[in-house]
Amino acid sequence: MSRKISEKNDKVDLATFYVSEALCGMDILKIQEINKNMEITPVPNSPDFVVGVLNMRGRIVTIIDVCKKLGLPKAEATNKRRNIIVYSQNEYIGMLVDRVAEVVHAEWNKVTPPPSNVRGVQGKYFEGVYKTEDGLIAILDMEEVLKDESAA
Amino acid sequence: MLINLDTHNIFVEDTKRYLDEIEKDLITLENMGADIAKPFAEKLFRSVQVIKSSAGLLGFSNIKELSQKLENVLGLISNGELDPNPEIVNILLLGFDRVFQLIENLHKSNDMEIDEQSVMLTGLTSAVLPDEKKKSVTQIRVIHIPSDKHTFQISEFNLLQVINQGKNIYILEYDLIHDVQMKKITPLNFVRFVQQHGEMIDSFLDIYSVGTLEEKTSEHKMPYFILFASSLDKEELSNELDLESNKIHDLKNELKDLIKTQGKVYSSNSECNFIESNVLDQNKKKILSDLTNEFSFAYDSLVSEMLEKKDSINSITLNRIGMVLSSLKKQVNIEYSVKASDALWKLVRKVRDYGYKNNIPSKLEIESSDINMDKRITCQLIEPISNLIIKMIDSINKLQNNRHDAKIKDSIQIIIQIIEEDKDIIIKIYSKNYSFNNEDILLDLTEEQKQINALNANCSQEQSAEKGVVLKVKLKQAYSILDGYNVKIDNQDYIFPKTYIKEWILNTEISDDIIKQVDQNFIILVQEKWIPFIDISSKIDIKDFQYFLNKKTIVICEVGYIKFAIGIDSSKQSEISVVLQPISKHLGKDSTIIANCLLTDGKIAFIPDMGYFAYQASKIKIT
Repeated sequence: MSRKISEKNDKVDLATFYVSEALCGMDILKIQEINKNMEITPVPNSPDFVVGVLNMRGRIVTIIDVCKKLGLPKAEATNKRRNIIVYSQNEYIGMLVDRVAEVVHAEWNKVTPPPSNVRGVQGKYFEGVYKTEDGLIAILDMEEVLKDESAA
Repeated sequence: MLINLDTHNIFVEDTKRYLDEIEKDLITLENMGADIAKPFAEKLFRSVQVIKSSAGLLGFSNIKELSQKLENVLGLISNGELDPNPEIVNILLLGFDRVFQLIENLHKSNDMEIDEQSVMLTGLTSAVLPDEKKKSVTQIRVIHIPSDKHTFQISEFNLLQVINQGKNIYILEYDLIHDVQMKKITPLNFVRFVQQHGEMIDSFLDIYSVGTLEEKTSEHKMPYFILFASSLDKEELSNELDLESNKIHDLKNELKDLIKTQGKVYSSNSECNFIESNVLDQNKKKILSDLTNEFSFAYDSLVSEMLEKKDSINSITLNRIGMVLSSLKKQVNIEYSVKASDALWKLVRKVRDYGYKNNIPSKLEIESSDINMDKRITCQLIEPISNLIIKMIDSINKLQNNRHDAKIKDSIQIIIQIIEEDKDIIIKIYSKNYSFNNEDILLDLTEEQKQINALNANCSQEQSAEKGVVLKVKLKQAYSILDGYNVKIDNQDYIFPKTYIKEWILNTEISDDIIKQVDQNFIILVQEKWIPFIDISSKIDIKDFQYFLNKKTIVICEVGYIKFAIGIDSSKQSEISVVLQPISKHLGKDSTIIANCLLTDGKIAFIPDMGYFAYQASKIKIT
């Protein structure tokens, strides 16, 4: 469960990325690495949001299609797709995103709680939204996105 | 006369023929890789045994002794403990040359010198053994011959070689006059006959117990004792050799200490038990390991099922099962535990051989105190680690050649340091000759990294001011290892657990008259019986016969009492030992794989849930 926004430090560096057309972000400190290794092995009979598994320097990492998980319309696969590797619930997971954008220096006190629905996605998947000059960044609650997948 | 000039002539002719073949085979052996050399070395080993045993019977002690030393070296090659590199083959050839000279001068052979060749061959045998086993080469064991004043004097190494193969050691008591000559068997044929049922380690002809060989009366005897190793028990041996049971003396009590040294099995009444051989021991270990893996899969499924149902996973029953499982895993680890320095000593040899072949004097030292490792892992580590060391040696050699004083070439000393860190084992490889600080010199480890990764381990390199470039291999202390077959289905690698595979029908042509659809499933006619035909990669659309028709091989699996067939695209059996990695919980409850692993080419392979497929198969009604 994510902490309340008010409990967080004032400042945060958000790694931002596009999931379909939605600009999302997450605390850069939660990211283990970002890679463009697309040699993903599909796994038979796995849920449709599981792209497959990947050999990351000897570690077998499961890749989740964030777009499918959030129920967003599928974007065309390009060579800009990346795996954002995070460590969650004792394992490394890759979150497949459509494009990585820039790092945004944000202030938590300017992050507003997520509405019940962000661009058609349930608000529970987000920690909040941050407004920049270029638009809104939906801050992903990684634990929530990766939770309960087996029962999904 | 039992042994006459004719016998000697036959022996000379036979041996020359053997030596001729041996010479050709040795040259071929040198050009083979270590793996394929093994069966070839076994053939050579057998040929030398015949020479040795025949020479023993005919009383040519030097030929017998030198053949024994050659046999020891060939035994190490066939056991995979020694690589037949040019240096070793050269020493073997020199040894066989000397045997040839001894044969050419048969009647003077016992007075001819064999020291030079003996020393070289003994040195070779001793050099490849770990320190604590070296003394076995020179340690002589005196074995008293029952009802005879004479003894066998044999090196402990020779005895340990056969004990290691799980063989029983006996003294066979023959009477050459009654058991051989009167049955009109020639001495050399007799030797060959006996060798069909085991290995003649040594033999002794008690020529002094008989008056003259010409007297063939029943009172005269010519005792011939054979120190014999065989996997047969006393009764079986008695039947096979047509020798009375009281003429076969089992040495299990006399050699108890040697068997103990090898850590082999003992019966409950503390007597060593030869019948329970190493082979059985190995099989038991494998079964224990396989069943523990399966138990572990079942336990993990149970836990995830309970999690899904939101049931408590802290139940007493589950904890109890968990405790049994962890004890079993611990036991498996103990069974396969081996001292790291013992397991990796082969590297010392590999480095020496490489140095010799390439004229780069090199030496390897292993510092490991008392760390233990899993021998199923260490045997797979030899190749990548020796390649890493060779890369390091080449790099150092290049640097030395580029130096201004290139003429002064130091011998390259590589150090392997094995240490424990938390729950990991770290193998550090560095050289005292490699203390530079230039990032450009870092080695390309791509291929070795893949092989090491397949062991659920990783490999890196770093620079230290004190040690220069240090290669680091980081391994876990405990592993789940599965013995299975690597097969391809729909371009994906799978590992089928060996324990469930009953039969392979290779390169089969599947026609549509041997496949039938039953409801939503398929069945296949195998050996006049219809059994479920399972698609494990879930690629098939219902009614798609074509999918099955294209399969090259049918694998028959048996899980419990349920039999089913799987069609695969590989056309050969490929045995493999893999290190399991758990599957992600994100793969969901419908996943039909139970674990995954990495192969040495970096690809991911899946272990199918055979229990699940057996359950599916059991639901198919075959009428």
